Amino acid sequence: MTRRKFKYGQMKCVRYAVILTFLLFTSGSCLSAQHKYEKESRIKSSEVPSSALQFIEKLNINRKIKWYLEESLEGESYEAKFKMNGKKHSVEFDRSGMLQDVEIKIKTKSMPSQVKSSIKQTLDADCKKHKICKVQKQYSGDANIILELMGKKGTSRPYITRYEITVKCKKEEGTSLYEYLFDDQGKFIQVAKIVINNTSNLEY
Amino acid sequence: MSTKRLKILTTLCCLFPCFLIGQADYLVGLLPTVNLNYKLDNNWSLNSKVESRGLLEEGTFGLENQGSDVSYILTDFSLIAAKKFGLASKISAGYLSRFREDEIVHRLIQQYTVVQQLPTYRLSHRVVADQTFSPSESPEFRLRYRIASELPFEGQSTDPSEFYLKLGNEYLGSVQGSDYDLEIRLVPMLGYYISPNQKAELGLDYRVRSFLTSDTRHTFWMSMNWYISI
Repeated sequence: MTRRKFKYGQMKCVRYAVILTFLLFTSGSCLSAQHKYEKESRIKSSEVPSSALQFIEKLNINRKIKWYLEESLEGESYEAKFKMNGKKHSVEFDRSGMLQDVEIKIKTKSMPSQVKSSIKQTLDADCKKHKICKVQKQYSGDANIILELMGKKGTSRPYITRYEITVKCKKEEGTSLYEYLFDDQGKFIQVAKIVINNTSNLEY
Repeated sequence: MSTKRLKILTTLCCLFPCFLIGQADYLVGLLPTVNLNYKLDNNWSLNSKVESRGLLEEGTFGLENQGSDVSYILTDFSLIAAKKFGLASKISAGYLSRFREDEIVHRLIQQYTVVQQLPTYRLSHRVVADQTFSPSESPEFRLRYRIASELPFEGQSTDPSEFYLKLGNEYLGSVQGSDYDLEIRLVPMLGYYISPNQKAELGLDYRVRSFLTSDTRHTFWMSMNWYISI
């Protein structure tokens, strides 16, 4: 029996078709927010570009590092997840291994009060009721500057700081999870609705 | 799969009450299920399920068994209406018809479920109360609690075209006339996320009841589930 082998390009098309089909069947009545769709697969460090590996090695992490390949409508990226200084870190690289951003999970109360207040205003306007589930401080910019920032001495060179917040938001149409992005002053940048996978196999 | 998850799986397997087998009765069969979930407006949904049972073998542990003919046992048809509250809680109510031999059994169902999305897996809690009415038996009243988890093999969540492990543990207390009983179920299943709206699962649905009396019965169902969401 002959087996048809799919070329890489064909497999990529199939994957994007799955993503688009997913969005078609799960898009709700909320049209103001994009839908956040991400498919991630665990990969070995040997599958990661060397430039990404080198960046992570310079951080001198002595904990386990998990690597993931993330697929979204924006494309594919590599993500390294680990714990450092007691905090969960997530470092994202593009397909060529170039640094995209570093996200560090922080407590809501550790945000500056002015930023918290500005964020609260946006959430109060968007939601009848809301609860912040997760806050990640996001750093992006030149890879060497970010390395300095993550080192013990820090850096005085410029970089971009943002806040990525996962919020449980109650609106007229119901309660859903949203991912908000704010700048370092708490000014709104964008929002995406997090699509929760089918749960009927756990309910019935 | 991580070492932590393997340890959980091993612990669950060790809960299998091997020491209770003794001279208890057993049944081995097939349990295919098709579950259709239909989303309506305003966070309402309808769930319809068809489940059949087929007997492969039954007998008593420790005794030489005569063997059994493969035979059909029954088919259940159920329809449940659910209303979603908050992010992942549902209150449901419905009705089940059981077609068994020459009789039709009726069951009313009330259910509450909550599904938690944890960092690397999903966990669900389900509480069910049901009342069963049959022409040949006294009404039976049951209260059930099930905890189930869906553990992805890849990544931190299960995505389409990926396998996952589903582990379920359920406790059913029942009262029928002056009799009461407790049934425990252990359900390890291998699942496959076919598409955003379809999942398929295959595994074992192990049930033990009356294990505190001399009337213990072990049931081993080969469970095959197909979940469709519209």
